[in-house]
Amino acid sequence: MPSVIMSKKQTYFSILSGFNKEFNYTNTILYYEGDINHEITKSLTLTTENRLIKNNEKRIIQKKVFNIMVESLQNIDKHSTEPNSQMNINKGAILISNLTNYYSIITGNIVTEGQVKNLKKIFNNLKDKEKIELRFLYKSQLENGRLSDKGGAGLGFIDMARKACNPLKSGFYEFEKGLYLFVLEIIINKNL
Amino acid sequence: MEVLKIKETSDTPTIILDKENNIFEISGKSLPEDVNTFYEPVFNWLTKYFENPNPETIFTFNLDYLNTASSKSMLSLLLILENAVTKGNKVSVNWKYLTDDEDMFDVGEEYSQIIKVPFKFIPLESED
Repeated sequence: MPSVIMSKKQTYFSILSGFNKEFNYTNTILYYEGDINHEITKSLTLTTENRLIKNNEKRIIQKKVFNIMVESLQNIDKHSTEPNSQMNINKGAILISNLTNYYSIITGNIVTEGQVKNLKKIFNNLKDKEKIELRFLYKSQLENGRLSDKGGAGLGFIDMARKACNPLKSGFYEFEKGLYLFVLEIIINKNL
Repeated sequence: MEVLKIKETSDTPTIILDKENNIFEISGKSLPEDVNTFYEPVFNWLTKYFENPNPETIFTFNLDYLNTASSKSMLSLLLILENAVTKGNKVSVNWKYLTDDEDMFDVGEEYSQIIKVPFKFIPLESED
Protein backbone atom coordinates (compact mmCIF):
# COMPACT_ATOMS: atom_id res chain seq x y z
CA MET A 1 0.00 0.00 0.00
CA PRO A 2 2.14 2.89 -1.20
CA SER A 3 1.77 6.46 0.03
CA VAL A 4 3.53 8.59 -2.52
CA ILE A 5 3.57 12.26 -3.23
CA MET A 6 1.74 13.43 -6.32
CA SER A 7 3.77 15.59 -8.63
CA LYS A 8 2.20 18.83 -9.92
CA LYS A 9 1.87 17.34 -13.39
CA GLN A 10 -0.15 14.35 -12.26
CA THR A 11 -3.90 14.35 -12.68
CA TYR A 12 -6.68 11.99 -11.65
CA PHE A 13 -6.53 10.48 -15.11
CA SER A 14 -2.77 9.94 -15.16
CA ILE A 15 -2.87 8.26 -11.75
CA LEU A 16 -5.95 6.11 -12.40
CA SER A 17 -4.79 4.99 -15.83
CA GLY A 18 -1.29 4.30 -14.49
CA PHE A 19 -2.68 2.14 -11.70
CA ASN A 20 -3.18 -0.86 -13.98
CA LYS A 21 -0.24 -1.65 -16.28
CA GLU A 22 -2.57 -3.12 -18.90
CA PHE A 23 -4.46 0.16 -19.33
CA ASN A 24 -5.15 1.02 -22.96
CA TYR A 25 -7.37 3.77 -24.41
CA THR A 26 -9.16 1.39 -26.75
CA ASN A 27 -10.26 -0.81 -23.83
CA THR A 28 -11.81 2.03 -21.88
CA ILE A 29 -15.54 1.68 -21.28
CA LEU A 30 -15.93 4.77 -19.18
CA TYR A 31 -13.92 7.58 -17.66
CA TYR A 32 -15.58 10.20 -15.51
CA GLU A 33 -14.16 12.89 -13.29
CA GLY A 34 -16.12 15.50 -11.36
CA ASP A 35 -18.80 15.79 -8.74
CA ILE A 36 -20.24 12.48 -7.58
CA ASN A 37 -23.80 12.30 -6.28
CA HIS A 38 -26.76 9.95 -6.47
CA GLU A 39 -28.01 11.12 -9.88
CA ILE A 40 -24.52 10.87 -11.39
CA THR A 41 -24.06 7.40 -9.86
CA LYS A 42 -27.31 6.30 -11.52
CA SER A 43 -26.33 7.65 -14.95
CA LEU A 44 -22.79 6.25 -14.86
CA THR A 45 -23.99 2.77 -13.85
CA LEU A 46 -26.76 2.81 -16.45
CA THR A 47 -24.33 3.87 -19.21
CA THR A 48 -21.93 1.07 -18.26
CA GLU A 49 -24.72 -1.50 -17.99
CA ASN A 50 -25.94 -0.63 -21.49
CA ARG A 51 -22.44 -0.92 -22.84
CA LEU A 52 -22.04 -4.41 -21.34
CA ILE A 53 -25.43 -5.49 -22.72
CA LYS A 54 -24.29 -4.32 -26.16
CA ASN A 55 -21.13 -6.40 -25.74
CA ASN A 56 -23.31 -9.43 -24.91
CA GLU A 57 -21.64 -9.80 -21.57
CA LYS A 58 -23.11 -12.46 -19.27
CA ARG A 59 -25.86 -11.15 -17.03
CA ILE A 60 -24.09 -12.30 -13.91
CA ILE A 61 -20.95 -10.32 -14.86
CA GLN A 62 -23.06 -7.26 -15.74
CA LYS A 63 -24.56 -7.49 -12.26
CA LYS A 64 -21.17 -7.73 -10.56
CA VAL A 65 -19.86 -4.68 -12.44
CA PHE A 66 -23.07 -2.79 -11.61
CA ASN A 67 -22.93 -3.76 -7.92
CA ILE A 68 -19.32 -2.75 -7.50
CA MET A 69 -19.79 0.53 -9.37
CA VAL A 70 -22.73 1.48 -7.15
CA GLU A 71 -20.90 0.58 -3.97
CA SER A 72 -17.71 2.43 -4.87
CA LEU A 73 -19.48 5.56 -6.18
CA GLN A 74 -21.80 5.71 -3.15
CA ASN A 75 -18.71 5.37 -0.95
CA ILE A 76 -17.18 8.40 -2.68
CA ASP A 77 -20.46 10.32 -2.48
CA LYS A 78 -20.80 9.70 1.26
CA HIS A 79 -17.23 9.66 2.55
CA SER A 80 -15.06 11.70 0.19
CA THR A 81 -13.66 14.93 1.55
CA GLU A 82 -15.15 17.82 -0.43
CA PRO A 83 -12.50 19.81 -2.26
CA ASN A 84 -12.56 23.56 -1.61
CA SER A 85 -12.43 26.14 -4.39
CA GLN A 86 -8.66 26.70 -4.09
CA MET A 87 -7.84 23.05 -4.55
CA ASN A 88 -8.29 22.76 -8.29
CA ILE A 89 -9.23 19.09 -7.97
CA ASN A 90 -12.51 17.26 -8.45
CA LYS A 91 -14.43 15.29 -5.85
CA GLY A 92 -13.85 11.95 -7.52
CA ALA A 93 -13.11 9.93 -10.64
CA ILE A 94 -13.83 6.47 -12.06
CA LEU A 95 -12.19 4.51 -14.86
CA ILE A 96 -13.63 1.26 -16.19
CA SER A 97 -11.67 -0.91 -18.59
CA ASN A 98 -12.63 -4.02 -20.49
CA LEU A 99 -9.47 -6.14 -20.57
CA THR A 100 -8.99 -9.60 -22.05
CA ASN A 101 -9.84 -11.67 -19.00
CA TYR A 102 -11.39 -9.17 -16.64
CA TYR A 103 -13.03 -5.81 -16.04
CA SER A 104 -11.07 -3.26 -14.04
CA ILE A 105 -12.88 -0.61 -12.01
CA ILE A 106 -10.57 2.08 -10.65
CA THR A 107 -11.84 4.94 -8.52
CA GLY A 108 -10.14 7.98 -7.03
CA ASN A 109 -11.25 10.47 -4.41
CA ILE A 110 -9.95 12.85 -1.77
CA VAL A 111 -9.43 11.72 1.80
CA THR A 112 -7.91 13.23 4.94
CA GLU A 113 -4.96 11.81 6.85
CA GLY A 114 -7.33 10.35 9.44
CA GLN A 115 -9.32 8.59 6.71
CA VAL A 116 -6.08 7.19 5.24
CA LYS A 117 -5.32 5.58 8.61
CA ASN A 118 -8.77 4.00 8.80
CA LEU A 119 -8.70 2.82 5.20
CA LYS A 120 -5.26 1.24 5.62
CA LYS A 121 -6.57 -0.60 8.67
CA ILE A 122 -9.59 -1.88 6.71
CA PHE A 123 -7.49 -3.04 3.72
CA ASN A 124 -4.92 -4.65 5.97
CA ASN A 125 -7.72 -6.62 7.57
CA LEU A 126 -9.06 -7.73 4.15
CA LYS A 127 -5.65 -8.66 2.78
CA ASP A 128 -5.13 -12.34 1.91
CA LYS A 129 -8.61 -13.29 3.08
CA GLU A 130 -10.33 -16.19 1.34
CA LYS A 131 -13.94 -15.83 0.20
CA ILE A 132 -15.21 -17.85 3.14
CA GLU A 133 -13.37 -15.57 5.58
CA LEU A 134 -14.77 -12.49 3.84
CA ARG A 135 -18.27 -13.94 4.22
CA PHE A 136 -17.67 -14.51 7.90
CA LEU A 137 -16.35 -10.97 8.29
CA TYR A 138 -19.33 -9.55 6.39
CA LYS A 139 -21.75 -11.48 8.58
CA SER A 140 -20.13 -10.41 11.82
CA GLN A 141 -20.06 -6.75 10.69
CA LEU A 142 -23.71 -6.99 9.70
CA GLU A 143 -24.48 -8.48 13.11
CA ASN A 144 -22.68 -5.54 14.73
CA GLY A 145 -25.06 -3.37 12.75
CA ARG A 146 -27.87 -4.94 14.76
CA LEU A 147 -26.55 -3.12 17.77
CA SER A 148 -25.95 0.35 16.35
CA ASP A 149 -26.53 2.39 13.21
CA LYS A 150 -22.84 3.23 13.13
CA GLY A 151 -21.82 -0.42 13.23
CA GLY A 152 -20.52 -2.32 10.28
CA ALA A 153 -17.46 -0.23 9.47
CA GLY A 154 -16.00 -1.15 6.12
CA LEU A 155 -19.02 -3.27 5.18
CA GLY A 156 -18.98 -1.79 1.68
CA PHE A 157 -15.33 -2.75 1.11
CA ILE A 158 -15.87 -6.27 2.44
CA ASP A 159 -18.84 -6.61 0.10
CA MET A 160 -16.80 -5.42 -2.89
CA ALA A 161 -13.94 -7.80 -2.07
CA ARG A 162 -16.16 -10.85 -1.84
CA LYS A 163 -18.20 -9.99 -4.93
CA ALA A 164 -15.09 -9.30 -6.97
CA CYS A 165 -13.48 -12.58 -5.84
CA ASN A 166 -10.14 -10.74 -6.19
CA PRO A 167 -8.09 -8.74 -3.69
CA LEU A 168 -8.76 -5.00 -3.66
CA LYS A 169 -5.76 -2.91 -4.64
CA SER A 170 -5.39 0.48 -3.01
CA GLY A 171 -2.97 3.41 -3.13
CA PHE A 172 -2.63 6.82 -1.50
CA TYR A 173 -1.07 9.90 -3.11
CA GLU A 174 -0.45 13.02 -1.07
CA PHE A 175 -1.28 16.13 -3.10
CA GLU A 176 -1.48 18.71 -0.36
CA LYS A 177 -0.45 18.68 3.29
CA GLY A 178 -2.84 16.32 5.09
CA LEU A 179 -4.89 15.55 1.97
CA TYR A 180 -4.57 12.44 -0.15
CA LEU A 181 -5.91 10.97 -3.34
CA PHE A 182 -7.22 7.53 -2.47
CA VAL A 183 -7.16 5.10 -5.41
CA LEU A 184 -8.93 1.75 -5.38
CA GLU A 185 -8.95 -0.94 -8.06
CA ILE A 186 -11.48 -3.76 -8.15
CA ILE A 187 -11.02 -6.61 -10.63
CA ILE A 188 -13.93 -8.71 -11.89
CA ASN A 189 -12.99 -11.87 -13.78
CA LYS A 190 -14.98 -12.63 -16.93
CA ASN A 191 -14.87 -16.36 -16.35
CA LEU A 192 -16.29 -17.16 -12.98
CA MET B 1 -55.64 -2.68 6.92
CA GLU B 2 -54.65 -0.55 3.95
CA VAL B 3 -52.45 -2.10 1.25
CA LEU B 4 -48.93 -0.66 0.92
CA LYS B 5 -47.82 -0.72 -2.68
CA ILE B 6 -44.57 0.88 -3.86
CA LYS B 7 -43.76 0.80 -7.56
CA GLU B 8 -40.26 -0.10 -8.72
CA THR B 9 -37.90 2.66 -9.88
CA SER B 10 -34.31 2.48 -11.18
CA ASP B 11 -33.01 2.59 -7.59
CA THR B 12 -35.83 1.27 -5.43
CA PRO B 13 -37.65 -2.08 -5.34
CA THR B 14 -41.30 -3.03 -5.77
CA ILE B 15 -42.97 -3.58 -2.41
CA ILE B 16 -46.41 -5.09 -1.84
CA LEU B 17 -47.77 -5.47 1.67
CA ASP B 18 -51.35 -6.73 1.49
CA LYS B 19 -52.89 -8.23 4.60
CA GLU B 20 -56.24 -9.15 3.03
CA ASN B 21 -54.67 -11.18 0.20
CA ASN B 22 -51.82 -12.38 2.40
CA ILE B 23 -49.09 -11.00 0.10
CA PHE B 24 -45.84 -9.67 1.54
CA GLU B 25 -43.20 -9.16 -1.08
CA ILE B 26 -40.15 -7.13 -1.99
CA SER B 27 -38.50 -7.44 -5.40
CA GLY B 28 -35.97 -5.67 -7.61
CA LYS B 29 -33.00 -3.43 -6.90
CA SER B 30 -32.45 -1.41 -3.75
CA LEU B 31 -29.91 1.41 -3.78
CA PRO B 32 -31.92 4.50 -2.75
CA GLU B 33 -30.23 7.76 -1.91
CA ASP B 34 -31.78 7.75 1.55
CA VAL B 35 -32.64 4.26 2.79
CA ASN B 36 -34.25 5.47 6.02
CA THR B 37 -36.85 7.63 4.29
CA PHE B 38 -37.59 4.89 1.78
CA TYR B 39 -38.03 2.02 4.26
CA GLU B 40 -39.72 3.92 7.10
CA PRO B 41 -43.30 3.39 5.79
CA VAL B 42 -42.49 -0.31 5.26
CA PHE B 43 -41.29 -0.76 8.85
CA ASN B 44 -44.28 1.19 10.18
CA TRP B 45 -46.71 -0.92 8.17
CA LEU B 46 -45.18 -4.20 9.35
CA THR B 47 -45.02 -3.13 12.99
CA LYS B 48 -48.72 -2.24 12.85
CA TYR B 49 -49.57 -5.46 10.96
CA PHE B 50 -47.95 -7.66 13.62
CA GLU B 51 -50.22 -6.17 16.26
CA ASN B 52 -52.91 -8.29 14.62
CA PRO B 53 -51.33 -10.54 11.95
CA ASN B 54 -52.79 -13.27 9.71
CA PRO B 55 -52.52 -16.89 10.97
CA GLU B 56 -49.49 -17.38 8.72
CA THR B 57 -47.18 -14.76 7.17
CA ILE B 58 -44.80 -15.70 4.35
CA PHE B 59 -42.51 -12.83 3.36
CA THR B 60 -41.08 -13.17 -0.15
CA PHE B 61 -37.74 -11.61 -1.12
CA ASN B 62 -36.97 -11.60 -4.81
CA LEU B 63 -34.06 -9.20 -4.94
CA ASP B 64 -31.75 -8.39 -7.77
CA TYR B 65 -29.33 -6.18 -5.88
CA LEU B 66 -28.93 -4.60 -2.46
CA ASN B 67 -26.39 -1.88 -1.72
CA THR B 68 -24.70 -1.89 1.68
CA ALA B 69 -27.06 0.66 3.22
CA SER B 70 -30.08 -1.35 2.01
CA SER B 71 -28.62 -4.56 3.41
CA LYS B 72 -28.81 -2.93 6.84
CA SER B 73 -32.44 -1.93 6.16
CA MET B 74 -33.23 -5.53 5.16
CA LEU B 75 -31.75 -6.62 8.48
CA SER B 76 -34.10 -4.21 10.29
CA LEU B 77 -37.04 -5.61 8.30
CA LEU B 78 -36.03 -9.17 9.18
CA LEU B 79 -35.71 -8.18 12.83
CA ILE B 80 -39.37 -7.14 12.78
CA LEU B 81 -40.20 -10.64 11.47
CA GLU B 82 -37.96 -12.24 14.09
CA ASN B 83 -39.67 -10.25 16.80
CA ALA B 84 -43.05 -11.53 15.56
CA VAL B 85 -41.76 -15.12 15.68
CA THR B 86 -40.53 -14.58 19.25
CA LYS B 87 -44.06 -13.50 20.17
CA GLY B 88 -45.39 -16.83 18.87
CA ASN B 89 -46.54 -15.84 15.36
CA LYS B 90 -46.12 -18.15 12.39
CA VAL B 91 -43.75 -16.24 10.10
CA SER B 92 -41.32 -17.44 7.43
CA VAL B 93 -39.22 -16.12 4.56
CA ASN B 94 -39.17 -17.27 0.94
CA TRP B 95 -35.85 -16.18 -0.52
CA LYS B 96 -35.94 -16.31 -4.33
CA TYR B 97 -32.72 -16.05 -6.34
CA LEU B 98 -31.53 -16.74 -9.87
CA THR B 99 -29.73 -20.09 -10.10
CA ASP B 100 -26.47 -18.49 -11.32
CA ASP B 101 -26.60 -15.59 -8.88
CA GLU B 102 -24.39 -16.87 -6.10
CA ASP B 103 -24.09 -13.37 -4.61
CA MET B 104 -27.83 -13.00 -3.92
CA PHE B 105 -28.03 -16.56 -2.60
CA ASP B 106 -25.12 -15.82 -0.21
CA VAL B 107 -26.88 -12.68 1.05
CA GLY B 108 -29.98 -14.73 1.89
CA GLU B 109 -27.98 -17.48 3.50
CA GLU B 110 -26.16 -15.00 5.72
CA TYR B 111 -29.44 -13.43 6.86
CA SER B 112 -30.85 -16.87 7.59
CA GLN B 113 -27.89 -17.51 9.89
CA ILE B 114 -28.28 -14.21 11.73
CA ILE B 115 -32.08 -14.04 12.01
CA LYS B 116 -34.19 -16.58 13.85
CA VAL B 117 -36.91 -16.94 11.21
CA PRO B 118 -37.36 -20.06 9.00
CA PHE B 119 -35.98 -19.46 5.47
CA LYS B 120 -36.91 -21.36 2.33
CA PHE B 121 -34.58 -20.88 -0.67
CA ILE B 122 -36.27 -20.92 -4.06
CA PRO B 123 -34.04 -21.02 -7.15
CA LEU B 124 -35.36 -19.37 -10.32
CA GLU B 125 -34.18 -20.16 -13.84
CA SER B 126 -31.66 -17.62 -15.10
CA GLU B 127 -32.16 -15.74 -18.39
CA ASP B 128 -28.67 -16.60 -19.66
